[in-house]
Amino acid sequence: MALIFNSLFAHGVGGRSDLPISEWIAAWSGAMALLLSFAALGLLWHQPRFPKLLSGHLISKLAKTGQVIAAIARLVVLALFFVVLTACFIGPDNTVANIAPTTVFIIFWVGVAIFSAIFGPFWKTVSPWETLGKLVDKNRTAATRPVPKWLASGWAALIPITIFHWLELAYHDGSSPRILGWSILVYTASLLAAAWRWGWDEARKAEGFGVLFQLIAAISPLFRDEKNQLKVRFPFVGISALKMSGPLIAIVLAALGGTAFDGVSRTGWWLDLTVGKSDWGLTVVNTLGLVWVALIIGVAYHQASRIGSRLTSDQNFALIFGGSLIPILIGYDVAHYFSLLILEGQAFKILLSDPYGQGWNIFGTADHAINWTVVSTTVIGWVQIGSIVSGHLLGVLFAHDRSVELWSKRTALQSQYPMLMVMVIYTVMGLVLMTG
Amino acid sequence: MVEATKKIFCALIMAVLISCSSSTGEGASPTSMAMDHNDSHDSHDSHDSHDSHDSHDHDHGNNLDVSQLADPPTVSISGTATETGEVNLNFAVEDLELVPINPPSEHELGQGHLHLYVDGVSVAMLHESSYVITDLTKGQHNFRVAISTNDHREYHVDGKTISDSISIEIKEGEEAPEVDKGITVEVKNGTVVDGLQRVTVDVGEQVSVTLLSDEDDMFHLHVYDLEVSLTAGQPETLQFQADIPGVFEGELHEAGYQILALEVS
Repeated sequence: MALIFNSLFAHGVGGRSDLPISEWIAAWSGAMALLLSFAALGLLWHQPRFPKLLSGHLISKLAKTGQVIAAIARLVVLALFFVVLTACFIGPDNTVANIAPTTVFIIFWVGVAIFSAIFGPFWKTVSPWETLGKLVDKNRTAATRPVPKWLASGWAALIPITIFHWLELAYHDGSSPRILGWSILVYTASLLAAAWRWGWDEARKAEGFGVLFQLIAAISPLFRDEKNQLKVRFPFVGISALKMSGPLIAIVLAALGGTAFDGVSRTGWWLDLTVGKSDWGLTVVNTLGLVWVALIIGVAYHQASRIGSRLTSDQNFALIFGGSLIPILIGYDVAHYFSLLILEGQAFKILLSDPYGQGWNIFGTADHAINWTVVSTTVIGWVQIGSIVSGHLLGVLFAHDRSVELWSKRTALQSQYPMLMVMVIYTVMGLVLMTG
Repeated sequence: MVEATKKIFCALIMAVLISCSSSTGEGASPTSMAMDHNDSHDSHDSHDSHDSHDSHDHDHGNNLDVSQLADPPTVSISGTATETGEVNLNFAVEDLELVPINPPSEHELGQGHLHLYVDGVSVAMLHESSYVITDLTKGQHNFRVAISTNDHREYHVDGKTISDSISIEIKEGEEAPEVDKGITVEVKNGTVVDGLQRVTVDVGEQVSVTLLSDEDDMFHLHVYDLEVSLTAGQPETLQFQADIPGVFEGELHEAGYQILALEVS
């Protein structure tokens, strides 16, 4: 079946989407979300609760054993990184037969995000770029130079996230293993060069994926305190400890926009628009679509923040409530990609046994097949609805908690109208995309 | 005052939400579909897609262009229906040495093996010059053979796979399962006639997809991994049981765009 898949994937990997959810489920859950959030907003929640829950309970001091496990995990991930990178060039030049596209688009982008939300900031411990960056740091002889503003401010992190989305969702050949290989190579080389010049602590600010996963990890119940001890707390309260900045909010909004466009590009309406288009013609249309959806998402937040600033006369409105975007992002992520992770993601285990397409069978899984019926479509449907709705719910909760912490009851309530407006726009968009 | 504002706000949002989700629900239902329920036709291919899901894992790589060779390899297929539901296939290969795929070996020019497809489904990789297919249902079946390198890339000449196909009618055999849903897709002037269809079928239904293109191409239905090579102006039919739920893309490989969305629910 030697096929040329490469030019066919507008969505990174996959040729399957989920079934549309029935309209009444969407309407019911949308209404439910609003009722619940209103109840929570007005009636029960007059005192800030999140900050008090931040301290958590001790699980483990993470002494010797923790360090050993971390060291092993780091090595395993680094080895996998090199296997995938080399497979990009010497493995089969085919999106589905090469291990790289599945690893990058499903295991890394979707898997690490969702696992970060569950297990906390594990990626910072095992990330191959962290490992390599620290290695450069150790052997660095270059004199310390003044760090340029674009790097120090954190805006550089937006570059990899933007390029990644464009490759995944707009560029017609973005899931070709060779293109992925060059992208990873250039990205890694730029990071290490920056690490050599300015030190890894500065260069890390440009590692957009690490920055994003670190933000997402804040909603996990697991975290490490300043003494590096493993602790547990209520999930989601961690976002109130985040110090949001302009670039961080932009990164979350970009990821949100990308996910939303992935949804748009699978609707019948968009398919009708792109039917018959291929190569660069398709790339142009998809690029316009991606920018357009990201703008809607971004402008909605920006406008709400402007109204909010006026209502509360607080210039930092956008930063104060930026954290509420994180549960929304995870909700979108789970809704769009949860089935991709557990269905198409199974290909990872199959390809890992033969990463270079040489007929190997290292782990005895090379001849396994993907089980497409491992979850029912009903379950997928409910997970989608549940994650979008609860993501927004938690966003509203967090924003409300923040507002009663900062302002009087009246100002706090007023500040929530623009936030609620954003949530409504996002929820409607999310549900429309899932049902469309 | 605040309470009242809140109530109005809530009601407005609710209205927006409900109207939005219900209007898209209607929009999602397929509108213009060219379907023909031609149960009376006995010329339908059939193949139970269950058998073949596992046979795809070694299909690596893309292709190897050998247009510059003086004598590029060729293959032709012939066959006869023997007993009930059985077909004896013979392959004539020239300018290629057929070597076993086990153990896997590096590509060597002039060596290779055969990939055999029955009704669009990859069924075997061979280095023998004959093969017997059993358990075929009554009616017309399509057999296609392509030459592959040792590392499973297909040999190409002038951008086309080196392959040959044959249609054989089985007169005696089990009745083909009845088609529950027939889908017809026509591609003309670089786009889908009447726009992209989104066709809904129930899980377990027998689906038949008839394809017609004004250019030579290869159709591929994702996940089900059915593929059929299309000759310009010549309709081809795929029949299979829709046993995996989801929405699946059917695409043209050469043209590079989607021509069908199959919804199985």
